[in-house]
Amino acid sequence: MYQPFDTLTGMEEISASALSMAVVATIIYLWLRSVAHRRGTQALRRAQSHSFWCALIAFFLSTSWDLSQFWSVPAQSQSMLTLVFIALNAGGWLALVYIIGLFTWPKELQTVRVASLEPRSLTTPFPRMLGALVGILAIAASCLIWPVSKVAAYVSESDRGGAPAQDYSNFTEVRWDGLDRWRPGTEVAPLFALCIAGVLLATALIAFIILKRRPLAGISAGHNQQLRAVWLNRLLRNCGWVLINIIGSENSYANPILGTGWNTVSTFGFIALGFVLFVWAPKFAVANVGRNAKASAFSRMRDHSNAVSYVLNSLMVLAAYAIWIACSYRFEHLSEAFGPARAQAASNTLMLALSGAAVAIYLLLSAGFAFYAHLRAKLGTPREPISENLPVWVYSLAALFIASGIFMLYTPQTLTPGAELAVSPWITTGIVLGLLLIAAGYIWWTRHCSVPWEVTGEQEIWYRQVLEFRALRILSSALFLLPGVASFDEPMIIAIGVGLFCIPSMLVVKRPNARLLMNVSA
Amino acid sequence: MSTQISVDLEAATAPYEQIRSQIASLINLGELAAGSKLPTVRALATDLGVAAGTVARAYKELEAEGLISSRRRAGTIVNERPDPIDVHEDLVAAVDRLWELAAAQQVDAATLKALVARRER
Repeated sequence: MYQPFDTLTGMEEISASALSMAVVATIIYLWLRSVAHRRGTQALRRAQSHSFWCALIAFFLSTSWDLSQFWSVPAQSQSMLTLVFIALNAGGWLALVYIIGLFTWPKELQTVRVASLEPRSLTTPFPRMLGALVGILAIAASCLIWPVSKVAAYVSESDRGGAPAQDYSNFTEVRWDGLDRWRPGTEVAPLFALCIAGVLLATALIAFIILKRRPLAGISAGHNQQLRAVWLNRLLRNCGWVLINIIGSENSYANPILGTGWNTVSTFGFIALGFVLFVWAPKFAVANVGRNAKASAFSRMRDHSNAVSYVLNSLMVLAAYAIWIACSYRFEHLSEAFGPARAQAASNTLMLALSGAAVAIYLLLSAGFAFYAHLRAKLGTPREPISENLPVWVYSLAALFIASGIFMLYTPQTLTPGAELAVSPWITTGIVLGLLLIAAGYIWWTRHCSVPWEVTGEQEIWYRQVLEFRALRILSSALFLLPGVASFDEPMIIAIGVGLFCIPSMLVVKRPNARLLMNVSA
Repeated sequence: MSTQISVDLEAATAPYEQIRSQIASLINLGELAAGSKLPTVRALATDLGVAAGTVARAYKELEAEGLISSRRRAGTIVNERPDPIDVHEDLVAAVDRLWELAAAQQVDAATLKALVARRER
């Protein structure tokens, strides 16, 4: 039968949590301190880097908590204290990392100190629109506590001993997790409330400290003011992300009350909101402050390449999520009508077709950006393209992964006994051949297109090699992920596929000589 | 408003006097308009990295000169000047020329101010 919280918890849990938190906090402190103290680097550069690292660490630590622990009842019972710790994790880490960040700046004694006579109020650098959006998210998260509190506890039929239970057939989250019991809303709602309160309190506290703290030594009053705005922007975006995470968890848990239709709408709504928060950067480009206004040709070429990669990779991540949602719905829809075997076949086919299309679109868009640069180059005086092959080991590894992926696509039973190839071999062949052809065409194009930047031969080779490496990377990753997701659902294979996608080009393609970069003008 | 003041802790002039003279100059030149608010004593002291008493003393002297007035609710406000200083165009042009020379010889603002202060009577 369902048991309420185990209230008997020792001091061990508190000690273990406090110890792990202290160790992580020390590492964060040492890292931020080292970034802030970096010798030979301009103070403004250090301030930018320090602020970025702080925001990045806070983001990962505050959003990487699984709130489904609030309602799932594991085999080993969790104490109330553990759940309270989990509820306070997001807010706690947000506060801890930002406070460490705000107080790791070195006290550089300066004889001449500058200050602005502009009266500083609490509202001057505060991003009001972003604050309003976060406020709306906070209200939404708070309002959802009510349906959460109405959810009744569930115990599986085997644990129930045949007693009747409520109809939870539409509780998709539970079916996915394979849970056979969960806690009632009366116990879960206070945990969500605590989590929301913790995050909002931490955000308010840090925002107050950011606005009132002493300016960083070594940078001007204007830059300090801009830095405050950047800190606040990142803090609010982080808070917004955490609130979206909480709202998503509340939706999942309150499925029996809200209905699955609401879940569908909210999922896509949260993706859109998450994207909005992701791109909601400060109005001014603090990152450019202090840089030479006239960027070198190599810098502009590298920025173009990185921007294209950033946009396309973001699109791929969103596409992967959308494909997963679409295939899940297709499976559920067909499963009810035709049974799980046929539904799995249709779902796998859809997964392969959509994923193949996504990779093809990635390559075509990337080629399109290169074509844009090519057109710009034609306006000037185009030169003969200079290109070189990547190292042999890169081609060897790519070929190995591509061949392995294709092999697994056709023979899934070799790795997972009993797994059947539910997708038609003709469709698989079409997708594989199509991807290989598009990739080959893309690589040919990256070697022959013109570049509009006045860079050295070494730098031009670097640019083309990076594009070629990205094509090999996405192809290897996709051909490894396709069988992993569609046929095996094996975490290890999926992890290898994701790992391939994440290999940075700097590990493979050697950056051009730094001294040359300084001498090349735009 | 992006008016800035600086304090040189190694200068012979006391920090409170540096603050007072710079704010007084800004008011006399019209850079700080009548009615504009000044930062609180604590905020300015924090930004400059000096004691709150230093800024408080500068504000007190400015108030005694009739340049600013402190009100409990409104904060510290710049007063209306009965006879604003009319800076001659030639003087402005000379200062501009001075800045250009300093920039050409890569002399920073602090050094330039120190040079001007040395000739102060």
